[in-house]
Amino acid sequence: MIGRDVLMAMLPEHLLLLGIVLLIVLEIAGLARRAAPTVALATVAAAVWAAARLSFDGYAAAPFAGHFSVDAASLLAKALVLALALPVLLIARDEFDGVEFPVLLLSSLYGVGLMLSADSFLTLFLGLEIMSLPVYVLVLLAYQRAQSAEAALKYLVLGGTSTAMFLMGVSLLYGGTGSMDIAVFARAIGAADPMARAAVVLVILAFFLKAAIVPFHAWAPDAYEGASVPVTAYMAVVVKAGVLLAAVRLFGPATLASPMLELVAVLPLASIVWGNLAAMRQPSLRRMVAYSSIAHAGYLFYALLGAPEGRMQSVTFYLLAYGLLNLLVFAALPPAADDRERDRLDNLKGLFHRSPFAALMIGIAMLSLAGIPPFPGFVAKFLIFKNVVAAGHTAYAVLGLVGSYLGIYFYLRVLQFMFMSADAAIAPAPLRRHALGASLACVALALLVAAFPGWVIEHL
Amino acid sequence: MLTLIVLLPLLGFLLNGVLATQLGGNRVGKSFVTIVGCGLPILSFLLVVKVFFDLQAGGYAPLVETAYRWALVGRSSFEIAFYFDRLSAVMALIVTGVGSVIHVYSVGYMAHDKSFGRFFAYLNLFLFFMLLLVLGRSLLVLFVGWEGVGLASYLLIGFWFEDLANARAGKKAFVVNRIGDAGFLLGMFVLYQAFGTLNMDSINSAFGIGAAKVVPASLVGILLFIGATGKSAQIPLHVWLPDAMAGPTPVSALIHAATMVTAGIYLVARMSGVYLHAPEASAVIAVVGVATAFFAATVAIVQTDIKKVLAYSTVSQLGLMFLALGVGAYGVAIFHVVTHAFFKACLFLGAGSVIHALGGEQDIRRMGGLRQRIPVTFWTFAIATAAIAGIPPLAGFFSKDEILWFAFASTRGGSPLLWGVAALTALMTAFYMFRLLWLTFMGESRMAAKVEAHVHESPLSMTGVLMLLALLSAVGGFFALPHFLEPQLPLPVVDEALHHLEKPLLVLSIVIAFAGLAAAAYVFGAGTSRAEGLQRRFAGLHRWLSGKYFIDELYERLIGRPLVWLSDFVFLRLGDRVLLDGTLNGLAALGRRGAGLLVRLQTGSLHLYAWFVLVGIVGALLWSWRHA
Amino acid sequence: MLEALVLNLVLFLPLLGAGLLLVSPTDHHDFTRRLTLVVMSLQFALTAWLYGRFDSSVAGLQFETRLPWIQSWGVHYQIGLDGYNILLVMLTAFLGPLVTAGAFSSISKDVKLFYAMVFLIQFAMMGAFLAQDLFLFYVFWEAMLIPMFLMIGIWGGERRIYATIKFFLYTAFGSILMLAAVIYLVYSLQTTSGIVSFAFADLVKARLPLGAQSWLLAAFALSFAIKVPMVPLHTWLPDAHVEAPTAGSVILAGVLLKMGTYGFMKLGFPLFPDATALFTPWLMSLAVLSIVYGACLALVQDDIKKIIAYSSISHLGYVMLGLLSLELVGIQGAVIQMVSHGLVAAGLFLMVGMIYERCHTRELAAYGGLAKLVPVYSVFFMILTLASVGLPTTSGFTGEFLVLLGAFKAAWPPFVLGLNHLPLVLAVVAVSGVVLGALYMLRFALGFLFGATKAPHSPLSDLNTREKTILGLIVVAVFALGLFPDEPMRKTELAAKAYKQLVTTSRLPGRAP
Repeated sequence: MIGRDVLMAMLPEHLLLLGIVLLIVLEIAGLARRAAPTVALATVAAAVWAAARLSFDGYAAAPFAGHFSVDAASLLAKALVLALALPVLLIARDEFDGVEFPVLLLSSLYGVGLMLSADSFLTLFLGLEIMSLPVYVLVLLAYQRAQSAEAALKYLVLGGTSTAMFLMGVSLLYGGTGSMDIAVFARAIGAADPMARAAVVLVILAFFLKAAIVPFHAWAPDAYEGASVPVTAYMAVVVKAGVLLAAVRLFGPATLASPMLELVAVLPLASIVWGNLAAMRQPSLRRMVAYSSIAHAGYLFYALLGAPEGRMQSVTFYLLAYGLLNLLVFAALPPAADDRERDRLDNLKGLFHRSPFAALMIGIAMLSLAGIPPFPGFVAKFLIFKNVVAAGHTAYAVLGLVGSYLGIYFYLRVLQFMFMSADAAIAPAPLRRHALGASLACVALALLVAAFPGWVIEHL
Repeated sequence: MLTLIVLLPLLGFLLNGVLATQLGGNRVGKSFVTIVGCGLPILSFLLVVKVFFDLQAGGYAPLVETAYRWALVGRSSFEIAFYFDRLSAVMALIVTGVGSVIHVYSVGYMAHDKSFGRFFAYLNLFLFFMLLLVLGRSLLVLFVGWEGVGLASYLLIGFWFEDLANARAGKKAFVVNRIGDAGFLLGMFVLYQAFGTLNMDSINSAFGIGAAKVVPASLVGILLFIGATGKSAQIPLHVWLPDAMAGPTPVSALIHAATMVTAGIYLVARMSGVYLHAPEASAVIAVVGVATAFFAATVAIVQTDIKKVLAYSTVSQLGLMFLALGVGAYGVAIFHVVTHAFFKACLFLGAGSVIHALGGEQDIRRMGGLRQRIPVTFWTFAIATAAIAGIPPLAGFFSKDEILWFAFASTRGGSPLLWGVAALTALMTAFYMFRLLWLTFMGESRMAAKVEAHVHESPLSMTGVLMLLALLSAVGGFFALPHFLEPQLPLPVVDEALHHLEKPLLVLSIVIAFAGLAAAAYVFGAGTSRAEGLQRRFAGLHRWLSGKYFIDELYERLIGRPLVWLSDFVFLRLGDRVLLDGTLNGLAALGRRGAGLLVRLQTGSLHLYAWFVLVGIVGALLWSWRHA
Repeated sequence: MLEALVLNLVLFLPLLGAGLLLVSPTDHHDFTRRLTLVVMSLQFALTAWLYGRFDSSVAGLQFETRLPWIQSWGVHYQIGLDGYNILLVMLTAFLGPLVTAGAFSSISKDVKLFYAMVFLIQFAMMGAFLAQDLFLFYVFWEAMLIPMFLMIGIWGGERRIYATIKFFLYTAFGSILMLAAVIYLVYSLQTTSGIVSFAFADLVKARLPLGAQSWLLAAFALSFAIKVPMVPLHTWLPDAHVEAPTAGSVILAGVLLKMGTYGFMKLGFPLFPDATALFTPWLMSLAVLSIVYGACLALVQDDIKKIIAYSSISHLGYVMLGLLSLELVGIQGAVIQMVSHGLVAAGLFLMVGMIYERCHTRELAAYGGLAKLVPVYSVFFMILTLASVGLPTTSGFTGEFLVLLGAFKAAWPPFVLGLNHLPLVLAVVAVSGVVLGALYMLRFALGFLFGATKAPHSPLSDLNTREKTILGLIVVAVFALGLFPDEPMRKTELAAKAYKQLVTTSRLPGRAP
């Protein structure tokens, strides 16, 4: 029954593909303007539903043995990541009309889907690239700003180096083992010969670059700022989620030991500190979010220090919390005349008096991202650091926590602007319908997660 | 019953405090205040008398009455209990008795004060705490009263608070007393950890049966005595009492002469069971007492404020009482407490009557010749003066003579030296008291004309009290109090070898009294010329004395300013601002600077970013090969 | 059973209130105020009822609720009343309505948000006191900062931003290290005894080597000591107090600071007895230093709020001293002192707020002779001042007296045996705080109430009925605790014994309990 498996196992991907085709057809039929967003939403929703449904049925299969396989866990993760794309689409409705955005987004999501089920470096590579390439274009989509072109270029070039590193590493591994199975990587982590090590290092660094870990983070602030709000949201949340989940899948059952341990501990630690510090002095919200996402990438990779069993759970939960609230920020960000204005942190001053709802939403998001209870960000951090300690890396855990402390200030700064500063002279701009919907959905989910973290964790 | 005695004045305080002040919007008039304010103290006086007869009927077996349990910790329970024996009977009678008459006196004296109600509320409050103090069974209750009377005195000294000086005097009194109280507290703690109780009867008996091993009696003795020096204005904590004269005169009479300041003597006498086993502590008490007596007397000689003279005389008399305590003559000390209460109250109230008559004038250099103008005041004042000077057969004579005798002959540390200083003090006492009498009442008037215009004798409510107290100061010496207290406070054994000297010394002390009188008459009898002559001759000495040896200034320099310097400069500026906040702000700045640096690295130039990547890759690879 | 439900209600009422405010109209200020007052009063009523139902003869938790929250980590939603928290819960509930009513006239900007914050703080504080599960405790402990941060930052004075950020970052730093300690503690409990739990009851079973205990206690202690605050970690307090709106100061001084001492009593010392023994000399020295240092600084302040702020540092030093004495008297005294300070400092801050509303300055020098201008105000002020000085018959005396008694009782034997002289020296120095206390408070009263009358914006109006009621209630409580401390002390006695028991029994690995 290979055929059936091919159909079922890749159902989410198929749905996405279907959506893409449909959109193109609509475009040709000239109906895209009105229908595109809805179709895109429906497609993703369907894909999410499919993935979730399969996962709950405990479905597992390997339609293309050795290249592509699914199981309950990976399907759930897939469902989660795809679900995180829904608010992005909602936000985007107020930004873009036309078919480009949805098509690109859906194709990128297709790549994510592949990554999260990849068993071979080939599939993984395909996934990575299919995910990344549309994003370069997405960044460009904010064509009203010259800057976005430059940002896209930087992203493209540096992304290229990541691809290069990945291929280099993989080919070394292949050369060493003659296998394209990603399990090779997990085995190679412990290996002692320079060749294998070089391979592992290169692959890891490739992921670091995609996730914007110091010192491979430099593209992120520029790209995030260059892109338009929904795209930034997509990069900060979905792309990061895809990369991290793929990384977890890649590391598989391997427990880290020196020298790889230090590599996966120190650079993320560095990005925690760097991101949190640099974020203090940002005039623009998107740059700030960029640095904060650099720091969060640090926490996420910390999860790899923990025992293999716990990684998936902690990363997924963290991505859920982090994703929801990051999206909440962008969803609740009040619209403004032009993108640049909208982005200036100073324009948040006195926001509470102009639109209390937005201020409350962003406030909650900030506090959660800062990891302050009772918001989900706290439980997520707790889970990660708990595993790190349990794996015996207490020192790194403490350092990481202290690093996260550095982050508190700039999140508070946003609250200070919104609640404590004199009104910036701006006409109050009510949130657009879909953004409102997106933010309500995000905050509702976030609060649910905050209230019943246990339930969520049990089901990951 | 005992509880009721204590609570009646409290009731008075609450009624007047609420109804007759702004708090309740001055609902009631003077008459109500008078009835409540004086009635309840008198009532509790009558109750005390009744309880006293009960005590007598019961063969003087102590009455104990437990009000309620304040706290129970583990096995040791702190109870609010009252204890009535010979000693507390005497004290309670004095407190309520003298207290009541002074209340009555105040009705006239404060008649024109706008805060009439507040005044009586405070007086009642004082009485309440004073009764707690003398009736309390445990040191805890005693301490509650002890601090409470301090509060009342603080409030009454600063009664006319519009003048900051008065309020400041009140604060000074409170704080200085607090220093003593710290010692008191420590004493209590030592006793508590040793015996697990603060009941004074149990503690005394515990020492009696040689439990003294547990804790050095002298340590306890000294610590409690520190408390006493505060309350009873002994060196080095005497500084507050003279300033305390800022309060209304009845207050000076009641609190700062007759009752509160004798609390220290009561405490030592009450804890005599400890002091009997604490020769060192007793010696200290004797020396401090006699030194204070002497020092205060010297200062009193040159004071020109009628109340200041009396204040220093009070300090001096208290010193003599401590001398008695120091040589183990506890009963005698209490005896002097009683007689002193009579004549010193009389003197203060007399002084009050004078000030009343002169419309607030207190400087004896601007008085004189009042004898005929306010005769009652004069005669009562004169009797009291004679009494304090030790002219037989007035009250002061007996008590003072016994003190001198035991200071000389007691086997518990009596010595000729102590006697000598005490005798000298007695001489000076007689001298400055008669000086006061002369300058105030005799000679020709030195009053300002407009003051002189309406000098008038005080109303009966005041003079009546004066006469009563004068009478008591006259005959008060005839109750042989020490012998009444002896079963509880045995008198010290007298050195047999010295017994034959008792009569000569008695004569001698009479001589001393009259010598003082004569000297005063000689110096001040004929105008002020001789006095001024002396003052010129001993100018330096005079400055020292009228400057009270500049002890206040000394304390200010030694303690006051250093403390402020430490707090303000060391703690606040160096500690808080520079060291702590400096460090914090420094760290914050460091963070900001670091952030700035990182931001500057984000130039936007692709080359630089590429370099980052390169460095990253190379570094990582090298690191990974390190262990190979 | 019913009690347990009521206890949950007590905890969640404020959150409910905040929810009500969220949906209630924005500009009906009086409605908002009344609603808050009603909810707060209801909370107090229920708490008082529970207080009455609390059985002093039962050791351990009462009215307990325990529901799984994060099963796989052994985290439970577990709350209950015991001797440790009952008085503090009572205090919190008691101050709630007073804070609310106290802010009626002073807050006119963003009234709804303000009372929402008051509710949230109340919720978090209640939670922290009631929580019997370390994770839950930590959540409330941290969550508390958020509304406080906003309250100071939005309704505070000129330097409010600096003050509130300082407050947040200062306290958060402690909490971060404490978080690390919490994780490590739970993890090592799991590895050593196989129990996966955050429940206090289980955590005290953890057996740790001295080294680990020391590190963990250090982390906990840092966090708690900042909250208390103990010198030298106190510099956030004066700024926070001075800049905070009255309600903020009242909550800070009234309850929030007790979190620190409560934390020490409930967690810090009992969890790591051996390390505690090791640290005691240092902590005790710091406690006494705080007593003296706070008093000295209070002596030279010109800002009336700062005087009270520093006096708080001094008074909480006594609490620490009592807890460290490990004498029943001292421990009981410490608990009473917590409540007493809660009442007195809250009252004083309320009074400062009331005068500030009338005169708009906190400069001590700007005032004088208030006793003549506003006699009723002055009476209340004098009473609270004397309570702060620790005059007998007031709650302040009960606390200080018992604490010092305990400290001395503990210090004497080692001194006599010549083992250790430090405790006695410290106890004696602590007693000197009694004098300093009188010195700075009476200096305050002197310049404030007495002397020639002067006040900006005279003629002053004296207290109105609302203010009289608020202060009247506090004063009654102050005297009740001063005259009849026995009843509350019954409620806490068993907890005090349990505390002593826990802290005095070693829990090093491989040692019979």
